[in-house]
Amino acid sequence: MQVSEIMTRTIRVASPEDTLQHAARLMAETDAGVLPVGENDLLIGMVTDRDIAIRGDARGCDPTRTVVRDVMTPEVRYCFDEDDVEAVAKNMAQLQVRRLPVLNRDKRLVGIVSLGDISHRPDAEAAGEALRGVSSQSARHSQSIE
Amino acid sequence: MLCHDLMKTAVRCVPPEATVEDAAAIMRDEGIGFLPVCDARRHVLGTITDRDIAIRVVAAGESPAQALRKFMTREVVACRPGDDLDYAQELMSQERVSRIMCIDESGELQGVISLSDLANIEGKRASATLRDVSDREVRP
Repeated sequence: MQVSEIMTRTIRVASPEDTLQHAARLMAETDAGVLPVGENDLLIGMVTDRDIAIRGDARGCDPTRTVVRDVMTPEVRYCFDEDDVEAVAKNMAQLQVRRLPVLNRDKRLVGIVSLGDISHRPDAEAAGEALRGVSSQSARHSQSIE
Repeated sequence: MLCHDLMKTAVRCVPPEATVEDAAAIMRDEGIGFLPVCDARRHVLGTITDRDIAIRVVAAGESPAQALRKFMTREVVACRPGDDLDYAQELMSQERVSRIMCIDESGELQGVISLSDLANIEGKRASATLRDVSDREVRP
């Protein structure tokens, strides 16, 4: 099964110059905990609800001034829409992430795949394994489903 | 297996009059994304997560100098430490939550069990709960 068959396709993308408040509103609309950050149609980072809460609202921070570029995780892990789901689940476990952006062959962002998406497969072992892998250490990115 | 065998007991709590800023700072400093909101007797009044802060405070343009009491989730999903883990997991699936509070007869918080904790004991079982919990997420 390919990632393209289970990923979430319609996604909001934040721009690096968006304020944290704007990014938070995008997240509220989509009910997602993570937003890809795009510049010129390319993926340059990811920002999570945790990034926004912690960097936006801890004392001294102003979420109407702080921009996404300041808090996003710039190095981007991703997978391709034609990748096999099982392989991607293992990869996510190794990378310690719960979501991965999905690119097509032209390296354009086409979706996001999450452990939740993977768990809806008939063979749910992949998600269990991946979740165990992700839970075994504290996550590097705060891309938490919780 | 019983809940008290698995639950995390060293759980950081915050009082309801603590501010959103306080909670965000604790989450940042301790590397956590979740806090039970408790009174002086460790009775759970609600919960707050990093996501709650992002959505209910930052997105809404609310001041983070306000008390958690205003923004916390008041519905608390709980079980007893002596309950079977299966029961706790069933409840988490039904209520679509990724954490459950373990509260004793006197109403005191004794521990917390999360989906990640369940995953560490049996991958297959956690997948089912994960599926139920993630159904709560809106799919565009």
